[in-house]
Amino acid sequence: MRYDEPMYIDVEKGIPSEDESIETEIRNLCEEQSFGVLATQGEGQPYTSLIGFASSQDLKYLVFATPKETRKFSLLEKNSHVSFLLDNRSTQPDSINQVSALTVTGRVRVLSEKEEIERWSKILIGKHPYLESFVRSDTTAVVLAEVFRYFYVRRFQEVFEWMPQ
Amino acid sequence: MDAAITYTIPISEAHGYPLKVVGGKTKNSSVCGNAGFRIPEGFAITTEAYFEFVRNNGIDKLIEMELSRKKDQDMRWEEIWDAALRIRLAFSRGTMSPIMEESILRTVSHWPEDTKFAVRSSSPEEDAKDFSFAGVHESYVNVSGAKQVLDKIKLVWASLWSDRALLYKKESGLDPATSSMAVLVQKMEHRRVSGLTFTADPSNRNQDYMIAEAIQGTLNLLVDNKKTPERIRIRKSTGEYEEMGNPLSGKTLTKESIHHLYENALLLEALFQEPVDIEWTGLLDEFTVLQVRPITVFKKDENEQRQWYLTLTPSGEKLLDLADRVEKVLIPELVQEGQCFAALEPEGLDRQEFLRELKIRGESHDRWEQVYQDDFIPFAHGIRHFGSFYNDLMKPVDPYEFIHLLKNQDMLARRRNRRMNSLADYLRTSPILRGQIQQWMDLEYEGKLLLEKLEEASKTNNPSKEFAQLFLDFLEHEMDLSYDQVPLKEVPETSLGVILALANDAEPKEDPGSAEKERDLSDAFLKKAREEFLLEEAKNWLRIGRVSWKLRDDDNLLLAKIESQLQYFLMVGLERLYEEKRIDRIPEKYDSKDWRKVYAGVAEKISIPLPRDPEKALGKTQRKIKARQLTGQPSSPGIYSGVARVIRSIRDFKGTAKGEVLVFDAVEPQMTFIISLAGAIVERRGGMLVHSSIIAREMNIPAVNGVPKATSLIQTGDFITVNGDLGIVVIGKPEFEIELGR
Repeated sequence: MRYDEPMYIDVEKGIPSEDESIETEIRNLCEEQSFGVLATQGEGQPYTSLIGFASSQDLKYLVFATPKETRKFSLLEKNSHVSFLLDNRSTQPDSINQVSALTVTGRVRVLSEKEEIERWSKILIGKHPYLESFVRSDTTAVVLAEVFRYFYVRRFQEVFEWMPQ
Repeated sequence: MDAAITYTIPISEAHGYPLKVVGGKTKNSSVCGNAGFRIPEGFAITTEAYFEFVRNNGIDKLIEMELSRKKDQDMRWEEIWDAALRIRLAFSRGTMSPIMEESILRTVSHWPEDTKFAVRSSSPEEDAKDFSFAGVHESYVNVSGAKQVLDKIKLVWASLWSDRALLYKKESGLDPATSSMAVLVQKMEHRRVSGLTFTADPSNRNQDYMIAEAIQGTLNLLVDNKKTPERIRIRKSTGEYEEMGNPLSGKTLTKESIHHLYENALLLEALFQEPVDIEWTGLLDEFTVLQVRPITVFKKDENEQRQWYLTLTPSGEKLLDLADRVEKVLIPELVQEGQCFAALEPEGLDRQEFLRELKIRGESHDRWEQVYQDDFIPFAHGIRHFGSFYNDLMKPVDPYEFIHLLKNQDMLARRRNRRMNSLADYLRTSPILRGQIQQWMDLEYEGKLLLEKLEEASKTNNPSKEFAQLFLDFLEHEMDLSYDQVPLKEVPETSLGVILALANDAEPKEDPGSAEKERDLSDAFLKKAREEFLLEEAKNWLRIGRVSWKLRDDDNLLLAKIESQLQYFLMVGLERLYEEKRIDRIPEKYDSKDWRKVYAGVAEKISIPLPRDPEKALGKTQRKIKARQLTGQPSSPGIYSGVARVIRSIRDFKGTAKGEVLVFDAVEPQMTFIISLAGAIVERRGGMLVHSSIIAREMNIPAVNGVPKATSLIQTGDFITVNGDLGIVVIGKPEFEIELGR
């Protein structure tokens, strides 16, 4: 019934597809942000590291590089379940409602085939050209994370879950 | 504390300060004073003071939170009002730093204690040429006493974020980080005559003429349209004038004073080097400039609904008149008309009789829709006015405390729910009877069949007799309403199902302390009002608030009754057309607004176009994106977890079990009886005064509303948690399967 609606008019009542906008917002965040926090684990102890990363076009994968002698490398070799956090805090320092964040869950695999390393290194270097020598170093491992789910948080409390397909 | 902050500036010096420090109104007044015009004495409170106040009280963060909680297009206007109400309360509860307060009090003490002041907004942007929507900010007149001045300064600051201001946020570039407000405090000048002069015709900016308006008394009588002014048009080149409208009385404007006004207007226009709009008081030697600003051609607001919203602010007096009219004339008429219509059944009437009765009902429906728009909706805003008055006076912690003074009235919806509860009580005491009703429900007896069963039962001698009679009487008196274009009386299974579900559960919870709380708050409110010499005003606002609150629900139910009667006739008309083979089916629903089409079909024996039947309820749709947590407004406190049921139409009522979380797009008063079953409520339509908020608060059910796309992001069967304290809805259980799947 329409009686009640005019008192409290909606500026816009239409229901556009939320799917599309959330997917775009996730994509934008992945593309705009260069760094994020990787969580690895070992014997019940979580361990976080700040890393530079790049995403695949379909957002099914994240790629990063790490020196092989690091703690995070040894942890992810033993347990491939990881979580990753990225956010836009640095560009929205004063407003909790403007901050959005993405919690990513997935499994990592250290790349060993030359072609695969080359393909993913290119994507990583494409986003972080200054990391080229680091990525190409023999002491560096290129790690690929297969994403299971994205948990997208915006406006302080709104949370959406998205599985790349 | 920044020692370098200048809190106040005498109006005589303000012309030397930047616009962004003293605001437009102050600066222009000061310029006039400096040029030798008489202006009222006074001082400005700088925007620096504003910034310090909002920062010290954390109001800048609050505003930011309120405005970015949702996308602008998801904010309904009522939610904008809610946000403005909370911001305003934060301002009036905020405290000035001792040094600021001291500085203002010292300045005020330059005038005798009984001086009356005008406390006006003086925003740096207010009178900007490219944006002017007058009346967005607030000003107060006849303010006396230092404490009152301090209070009003805070309210003028708050009006930078009033609902009106927020509606034009986009156009005005209002921004929590940069926008500010200076305040102009001036001694009131009471002269015999006051008025406005425009040095160009404001309607078309024709610079060949000036327009002057004058009244006897203070200027606010003219600005608030309380008195009709004398109006003249003056040719700028010669000073010749002509009367516009009524002839001059000779008591307000004279030839001599008109000439004086004319000369001063020319001087002021020259001073500002563009056409200006001058507010003044006093004639000839007493001529005093109250305000000068460039003439802005008011832009036509393209958004018609917004314009309409802005008209919904009748003044206190008008609301009191309206309260009388609504309570004593309109509602009784509406009740009587509904009863009168219900007394006549459409069946068995011949064509001419049928057409006559259909027309009477259709025209009545149209007329009441108009009354709803013209009187009921503006009057419903009385709740808001009362809320603002209450908050200004009491400065409560909870911005919605005022609702306690409005609750506990004998509303139609409460009466209906009470009757449903007593029917449920009846079933509780008789397991056999309950079993029988359950059986009917299990056998899916619906509509006419169920009514027949009930009629039958009411005439027999078995235990169901009395219950059936009571229920049929309940249907007749409480359910003769149309919801979703379906007369609820004809779908008895919906209300009977709810009664059964209530009976299957423990007794409903009540709020025993509610009436007591109302009394305490009401006493405190009237006591404070008496102390502040506002008792009469407070009583009037309370009356408006209470009538408005009651009407808020009742009018919808009464209108639904009129519509229900029209619907019976429409359905009978459609059946006739079907029998005469003018239409190939009888639609499930027919829009009441289109009654004339059915009338024409029956009268002229022609076929008419039919609406498409609504699609059957959709199954669970697969979505790639799953909402896990949504935010809205906390509209009734408490936390509750349960299974969601999305209610899109009356069909979804069926099978609703006690304790489910009901998810609505918009809750209408006709359907609030189903809320008796709800464990919690989620609604897309937001606001503290929407029906679901009112009912949920009355029944102590946690509720969150203003959740964008609630009915599409939540699906029936989802496990959800409603946090009515924080306004959060969590979908799914907190734990989720560990990511082992792939």
